[in-house]
Amino acid sequence: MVRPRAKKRAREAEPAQGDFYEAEEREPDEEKFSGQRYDRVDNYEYELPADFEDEEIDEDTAFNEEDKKLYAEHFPLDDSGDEGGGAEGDLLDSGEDEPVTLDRDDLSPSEDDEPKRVGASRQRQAEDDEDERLLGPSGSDADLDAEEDDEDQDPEEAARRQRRLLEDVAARGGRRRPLPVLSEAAPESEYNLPPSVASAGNVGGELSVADLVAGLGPERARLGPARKALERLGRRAAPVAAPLPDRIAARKERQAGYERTKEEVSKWQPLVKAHREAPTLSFLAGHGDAGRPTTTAALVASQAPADGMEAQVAALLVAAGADSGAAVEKAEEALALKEVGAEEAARRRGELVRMRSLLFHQEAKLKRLAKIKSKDYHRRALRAAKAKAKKVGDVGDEDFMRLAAEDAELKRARERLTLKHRNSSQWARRALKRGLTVMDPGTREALAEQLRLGQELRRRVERPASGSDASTDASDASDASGDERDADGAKGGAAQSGGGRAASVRVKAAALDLLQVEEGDEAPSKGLFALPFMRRALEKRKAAAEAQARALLEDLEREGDEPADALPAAEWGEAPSRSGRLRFGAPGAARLWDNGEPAAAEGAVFRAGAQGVGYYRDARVGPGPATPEPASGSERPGSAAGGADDDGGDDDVMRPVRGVELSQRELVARAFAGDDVAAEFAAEKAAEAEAQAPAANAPSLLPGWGAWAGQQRTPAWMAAAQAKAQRRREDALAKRKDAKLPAVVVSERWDRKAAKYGTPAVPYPFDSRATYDRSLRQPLGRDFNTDAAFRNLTRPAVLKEAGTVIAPLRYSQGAAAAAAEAAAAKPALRKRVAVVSAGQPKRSKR
Amino acid sequence: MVEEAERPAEPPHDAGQAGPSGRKREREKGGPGGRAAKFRRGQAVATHAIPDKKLKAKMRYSERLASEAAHMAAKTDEWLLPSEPGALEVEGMERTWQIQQAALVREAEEGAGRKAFDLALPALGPYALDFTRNGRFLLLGGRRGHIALLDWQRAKLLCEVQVRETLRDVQFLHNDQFFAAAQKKYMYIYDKRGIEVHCLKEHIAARRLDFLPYHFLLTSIGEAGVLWYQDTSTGRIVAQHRTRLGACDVMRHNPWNAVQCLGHVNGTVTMWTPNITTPVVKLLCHKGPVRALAVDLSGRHLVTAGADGQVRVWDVRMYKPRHAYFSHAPVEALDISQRGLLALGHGHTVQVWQDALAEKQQSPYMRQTLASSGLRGLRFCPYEDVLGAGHAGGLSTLLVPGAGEPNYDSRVADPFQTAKARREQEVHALLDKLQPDMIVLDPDSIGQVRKEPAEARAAAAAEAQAANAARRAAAADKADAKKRMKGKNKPSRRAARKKANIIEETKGPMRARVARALPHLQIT
Repeated sequence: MVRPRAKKRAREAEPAQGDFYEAEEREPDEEKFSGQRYDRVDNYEYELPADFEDEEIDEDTAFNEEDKKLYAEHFPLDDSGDEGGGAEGDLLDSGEDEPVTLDRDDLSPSEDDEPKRVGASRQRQAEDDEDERLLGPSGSDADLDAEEDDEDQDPEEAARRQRRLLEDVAARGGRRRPLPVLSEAAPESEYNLPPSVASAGNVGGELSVADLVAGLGPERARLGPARKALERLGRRAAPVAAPLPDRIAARKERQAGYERTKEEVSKWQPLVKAHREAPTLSFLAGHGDAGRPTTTAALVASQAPADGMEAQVAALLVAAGADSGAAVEKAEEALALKEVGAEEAARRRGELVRMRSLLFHQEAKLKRLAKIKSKDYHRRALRAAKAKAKKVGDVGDEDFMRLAAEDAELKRARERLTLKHRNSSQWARRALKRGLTVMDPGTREALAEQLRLGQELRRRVERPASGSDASTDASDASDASGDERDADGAKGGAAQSGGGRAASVRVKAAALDLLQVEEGDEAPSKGLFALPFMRRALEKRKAAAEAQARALLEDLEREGDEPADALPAAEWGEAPSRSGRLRFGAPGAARLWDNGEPAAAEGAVFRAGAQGVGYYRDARVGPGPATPEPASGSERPGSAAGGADDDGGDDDVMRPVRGVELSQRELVARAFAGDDVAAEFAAEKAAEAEAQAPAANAPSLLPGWGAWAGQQRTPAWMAAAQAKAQRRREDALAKRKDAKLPAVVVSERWDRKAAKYGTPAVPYPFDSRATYDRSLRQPLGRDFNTDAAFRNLTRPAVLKEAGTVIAPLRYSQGAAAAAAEAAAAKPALRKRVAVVSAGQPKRSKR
Repeated sequence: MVEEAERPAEPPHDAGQAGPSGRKREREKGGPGGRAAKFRRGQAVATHAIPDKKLKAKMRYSERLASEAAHMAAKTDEWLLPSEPGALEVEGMERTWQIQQAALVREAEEGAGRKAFDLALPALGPYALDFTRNGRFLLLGGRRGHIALLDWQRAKLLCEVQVRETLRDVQFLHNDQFFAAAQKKYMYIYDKRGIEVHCLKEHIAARRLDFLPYHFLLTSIGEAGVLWYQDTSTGRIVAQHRTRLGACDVMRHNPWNAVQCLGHVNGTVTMWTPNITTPVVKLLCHKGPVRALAVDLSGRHLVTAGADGQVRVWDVRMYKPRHAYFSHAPVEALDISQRGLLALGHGHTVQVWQDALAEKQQSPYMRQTLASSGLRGLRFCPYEDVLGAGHAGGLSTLLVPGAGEPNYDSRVADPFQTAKARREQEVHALLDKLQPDMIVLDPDSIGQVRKEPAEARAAAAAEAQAANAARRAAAADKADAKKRMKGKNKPSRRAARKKANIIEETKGPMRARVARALPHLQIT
């Protein structure tokens, strides 16, 4: 019964001619299979022989789904898994050497068996003919013979079968013959539908009871009464739809599974996040493990009366209705109501209602009031807005711009009206006329204030955006000298312009004042000064004074530009400025003081005295108003305070260096000075700087090298290289920390040993130097922190004791909710220790 | 960072802003928020700009901790450090320097009054002196070999040694248990009972001693002008720098950065660290020899006194002279108290100046004439308003109100320390010991990003390369030795061959002996 499959296919494709069992017309494939859902696919699988008997396999030992998964490589590709496998096999397994299969049709006898077989033989015949045509008559003799045999046997075979069938039917009385076992060689799938489904003609692939019954074949006759029931069922029940394709079903399943898993996993998220974010995890088996009641109410609630007296007392209390606070209250209220009369109770209730209503209204009022911002608030808001408007300039809010502009206009108008900044008011003029000497301090101060205002305004006009020291100095100095702005003072200042810095500043201020005064003044319109020649003379004088003042100002500014640091090394030991000194005596005299005077050696004499031979202060030229020294006005605090300084000059160990002591200082310096230490130091410094600067090893001209013989000038490239090297060297020298400090050498040597305490680059995970530096800024030690801060700053990431069993995290809704809430809270409120006990995050009681 | 604990806190940024605005701000911040400003260390970084979430969270957390720490410190400062520093106050035309010690002692409370005393030791002076860091013990070293260790407030003599040779300086080590003495030739270490424990022969003819408590480094300088650093916890010499500037008699350290400052005869002050063999900073301070110097606790001001009669105040962080004072006779001794009072003196006079570092003052705060001349050393006692002056006639202590820090931190220095606490502190100090190579000019630069110069980078790379090459060669040798092989080239034979190629002295005579004994053997 074993036949090559290909021949069968050929048979089917081409029915034999003259077959009288042929029932239907031959129709083309596309029409024949047009109603079917899937293309027809041939089955090339090995089919079990007829005498095959399935052995009993215990359910436990049989392969189930899990085993299949486990041993997937030993199984053919599952259709549900990969639909391409089968089709591919079909495509590839064509040709003569295809596997020999048993036809199912052969095994199960059916009515339409015979015609098919005949058709098949015809087909084979045709095929053979074709072979012959191609290969010649001697192509395959044996094959031909066999075919002949087959063809000869065919009618006999059919007869024998028919006979056997008849015998079977007759012999089948009550005895049941077991149905032949049909085993599907290929697993069920959309590619391998049972023929009943495929041939049912149902376009939608539905399965009805009729289809199932039809599957029984001739056996259905034996169903008996069951058949009727089945038919009834078939009429009544709707046909069952075919299942969805596996891929789609699997996809849906995956989708559902994903949703479920997602839900399962994401519920852990807040817990795990809280854990990850907690700076410290504590696994200490703390005393917090046992839930302890912390409130009185909790204690009372958990209290259960013990046996004996406690139980008796409790029973008595319950009996008396005094077992809880609520019960007691209720009883008391009842008692109180019992005492008062009905009208009293009504009155009280009325009162209560009234109070409640009052309270409600009050609350509403307060709510409304709370929304009202204070005057202060509005003022601040306005100010802030103005500042903002000023900052943003033109692009600011129009309203605020307008307000700011209005404000400025108001200020200006006020100033224009009062002209406070010029001392031209009647009051000021009279005060000035009376003279500075008779002025009381209040008036003087007021005048000075006015002057200051004027200065400020003018400065704003002249130097719109200058905040330099010089200008502030000038204004400060002019404050001090505001009371005597006369031309003489300016001239005096001009005469001493070679003096110290403070003096020069003062002179400058005076000159400025002079200029401004002259600009502000108006020529007299009547009187002696109104005469033409007087006026001319006045103008001339004014022009001369102005020119002088301008020249003076220019000079001063040129001087002022020199930086203080650039003083030569030999002069750094000069006495510092006396601007910070205390002054006593008349202010006018103090102003004329000048420290530019050269050191006078006359201040001391060398003589024998109480302490032996040495330098003594000369009493004749000592401090006092009689000395020609202008600094005489500024007395030493010692002598001003009392005579303590006079009794012993040596007693005063140390005093600030100043003009009076210049002579003494000079003497001591001369006596003790080393041999020009400053020059030595400068030389040392230069040597060190040279040594540490990069070497200027630029190529230079060597006769015979790098240049033609007899060449007169340095090649351009060489000159450029030399200049570059020189520039590099000079840059390095200028960049030294001590470049501008003549008395200092700061070593630029690289500290190799300390290099290991630094890092050449910002370490991970810091993203910038600022962040990294900041992380080091807070000292951690106990010396710098309180105990609590120290513990917070140095707490380890994980706290655990030896022997603590760390259980895996467990899920609980409460803990997850608490974690989610904590994550949403402000970082400042987050806890710094996450306590985990027995796998369960502990919630803190707030 | 170094020794920051001792330094008084930096002045608050908004201090002195009395009036409504300051108060309002404080109220807005809630209690001592305004006070916390002085404990904040710089501005916080803008964390919102950090893209890395993890880093952002970390920075926010650390900022939070830092601000809490500042807040707690402010609270502690407010509630737990109640003692106010003392001061002298006068009325009208009176001046503080007019008040004599006798008057002060009369007015002061009983306990304080007892702290001012004169110790007459006329035979063995002049005396150098040193206080322990907690101010409880006093060490006296007389020029003629007299050493005395006192519990000075209780007037208790703990030990007394006569070393019978010239004694130039004495110095406590980390606590009162040991002290060092610079004697005629060597330096010695004694314990508190006066028993000689060590003789340090490297420090020859030392003139001045100093001790860096956080590094456990004992330093000395002497006639040879060599600066020695010796680690007293391990006993090793850490560094030895030749100053090449002759004998040196002036040495103090900067408590802020532990840099040693030396004053030289050519008027310069040099600053040294153990790491670098040349001075890290050199200042030309005076035209004559430098006689004394002192650095304040914050490490901001350096005061030097020269033989040219000048006393100069320097801003050490900017290396700029701030101002100068002048004295008739060169100042011989200087010291700066915990709260920034400057004491100086010569001969038999001592003056104390208040606020004289930051700005120039016109008159002294206090002045005193000592019982004897020949002033040798001035030291303020920590945590006490007392100035000790060692001179030819012994020791005098003066009451200087407002000199010492009124509140002490028992973790740093505890005047009432028990033996047990002392032991504990010793262990802690040793555990927290800083390495000598951590001494740098700017201690804040420790841990920070520092760009290496190109040469250093190249040198490090070359060193690493050489080390790698050596390691590879060693590994190859080892592998070669282990190579398993049979026949002529097997390792044992190769080793034997290598050995055979070495000509040994003993080989020739041995061969001759064998040849004599066994003439039938042909030895090639």
